Amino acid sequence: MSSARNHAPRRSRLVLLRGGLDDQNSDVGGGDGGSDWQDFCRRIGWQPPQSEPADDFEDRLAERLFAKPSPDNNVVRLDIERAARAVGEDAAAAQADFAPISDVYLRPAFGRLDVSERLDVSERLDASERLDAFGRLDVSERLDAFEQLDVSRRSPMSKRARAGWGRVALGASTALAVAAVLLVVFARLAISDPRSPSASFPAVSAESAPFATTLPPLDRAVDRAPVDAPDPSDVAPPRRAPRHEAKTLKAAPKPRTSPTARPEPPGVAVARTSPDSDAPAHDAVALRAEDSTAPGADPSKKEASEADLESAAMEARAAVAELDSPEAIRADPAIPWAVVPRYRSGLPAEGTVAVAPVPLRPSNGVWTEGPSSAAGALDANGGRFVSASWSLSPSTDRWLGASVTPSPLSGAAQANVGAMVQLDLGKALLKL
Amino acid sequence: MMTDSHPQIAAHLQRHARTLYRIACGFGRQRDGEDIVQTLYARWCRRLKDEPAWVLPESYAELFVCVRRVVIDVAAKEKRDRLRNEHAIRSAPEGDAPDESLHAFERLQWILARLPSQLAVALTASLSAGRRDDAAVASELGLSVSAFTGRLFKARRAAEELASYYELLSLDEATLMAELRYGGKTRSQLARELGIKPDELAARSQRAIDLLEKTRRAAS
Repeated sequence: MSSARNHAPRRSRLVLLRGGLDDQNSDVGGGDGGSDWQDFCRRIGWQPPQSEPADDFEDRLAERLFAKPSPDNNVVRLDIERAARAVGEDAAAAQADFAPISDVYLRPAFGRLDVSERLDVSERLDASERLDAFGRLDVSERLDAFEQLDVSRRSPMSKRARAGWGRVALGASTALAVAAVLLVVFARLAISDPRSPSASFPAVSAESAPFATTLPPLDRAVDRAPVDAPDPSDVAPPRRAPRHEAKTLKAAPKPRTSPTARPEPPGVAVARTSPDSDAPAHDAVALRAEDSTAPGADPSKKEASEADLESAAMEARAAVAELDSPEAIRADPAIPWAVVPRYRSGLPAEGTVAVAPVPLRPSNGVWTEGPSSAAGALDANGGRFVSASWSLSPSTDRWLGASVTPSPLSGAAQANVGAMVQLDLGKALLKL
Repeated sequence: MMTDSHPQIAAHLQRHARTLYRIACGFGRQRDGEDIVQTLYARWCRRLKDEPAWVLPESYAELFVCVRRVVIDVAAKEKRDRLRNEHAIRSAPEGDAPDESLHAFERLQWILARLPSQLAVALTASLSAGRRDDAAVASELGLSVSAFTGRLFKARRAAEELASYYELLSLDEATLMAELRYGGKTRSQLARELGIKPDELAARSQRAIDLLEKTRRAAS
């Protein structure tokens, strides 16, 4: 006995405890100390084991820790069995007998595998289960997994990414197709609708002022103007055609020095040709039409105007027919080409749109011209001067837009309707 | 078997797996002691992979601390699950074993946190190794067997007293009494830390002592 035990009766508050080795042979309750030790342990919250682990405890633990996936592994076995039975005649029975691997079942099984083993197992699982299993890996394990995987082929994340890009591409194609359809529709409306010329554009004489010769080019075009270009003041100012003028539509050859002739009024898209090209087809065509639907218009004047338009169109077609084919137009790489209304491209009047060189806008904004509030305003002679603005405004790299106002080649109704389409390709792709 | 890739783990497992299991059971995790040991070894495998120079814990005190961390994590998860499934727990029968073990674990945590460090080390080592290995624990702590026995004796007395505080007093009073008895601070220091006057501190401690005496008299 220890001395503490001998002195215990004389101390009123001293608790008798066995702190030494004398009670090693009096073990009770699993062989871990005596009964008073067991009581002490329970008082402080320590719970001595009621039973020792099995003899093969270490072996089973090591097997769970280091085991490779095998048919004996429950997760894999169930899955293999399910797959094997699903392809056989007992597919229905397999569905009934083998429920999907539950989360409770999968989680501890995965915890006993290392990364490569988890991946091997996850390959045998369904897609959703594979994703779920992949999500259970921590960050470093996921990185290891990606290193071990052919990411583009096996990773569900890469499949997702690829699917996402496919959707983006498909969405972008759809958006571009819709935009093209809208452009064609609006262009057709613009060409066929004789109403509401855009009064924000200045009137240009049919004889002297095709767009390219009378309207200013862009700053880039100015920079590229020949040194021997005549002074803009030398260019004859546009002369307005009288009402019921026989030639209301005329294509005038553009002087080589014309781009610097006059500053560009806001909102006018200038179709111009390459300065190296001699073909008059590069010249833009200024259109002016009498609006026979204007208040007070004479019906006889209307008939005459229609006849004039028709004859002018025939003359224009004949003039254009003498031109080279559109393919023969030499392209200036410095000038961007874009879709423009055909009548402004200098090409024959069939169709609604054509591809022609379009100068860049000098504006910082995308649409500096804004909507035309004075569209359809009458000129001094009561006629309406028609122009169409159909341009791309690549003032930034990703903003593309086009606008069109109705162009009165024929018809009688008046309209102040214009259309503008603007597309931010970058944002559109991101949204998709 | 992949023991070739983790020879340290395999050897450690053969040496200490039972001890770890016993410690897990001592924390009240009899029902999932094997899972806790497995979780612990999985963590060690991961750490060895990240830090090959890391040395696995060998001493009883270290093993005790490692298992306690895992048990703390598991207990915290059980608490979260319990809060999440509060309705299901409410319908469970009273005196459920997990609740009891969790309460016991919290009490042990509270006691060990307030024991003087030397006594706590001696007690945890003894709890981890079992009473049959006092000599081994003594050598591990660098003490003679008699010195270890004396320290363990003091540790038992202190732990029993703290257990009585925990059982009989409110948590605030128990903490106050534990700080007064084993905190190593003077009353004025403790009053300053608690933001109360020394007289009030003395009154509180006297009330707690009276309650303890009364309970002991009633028990005897």
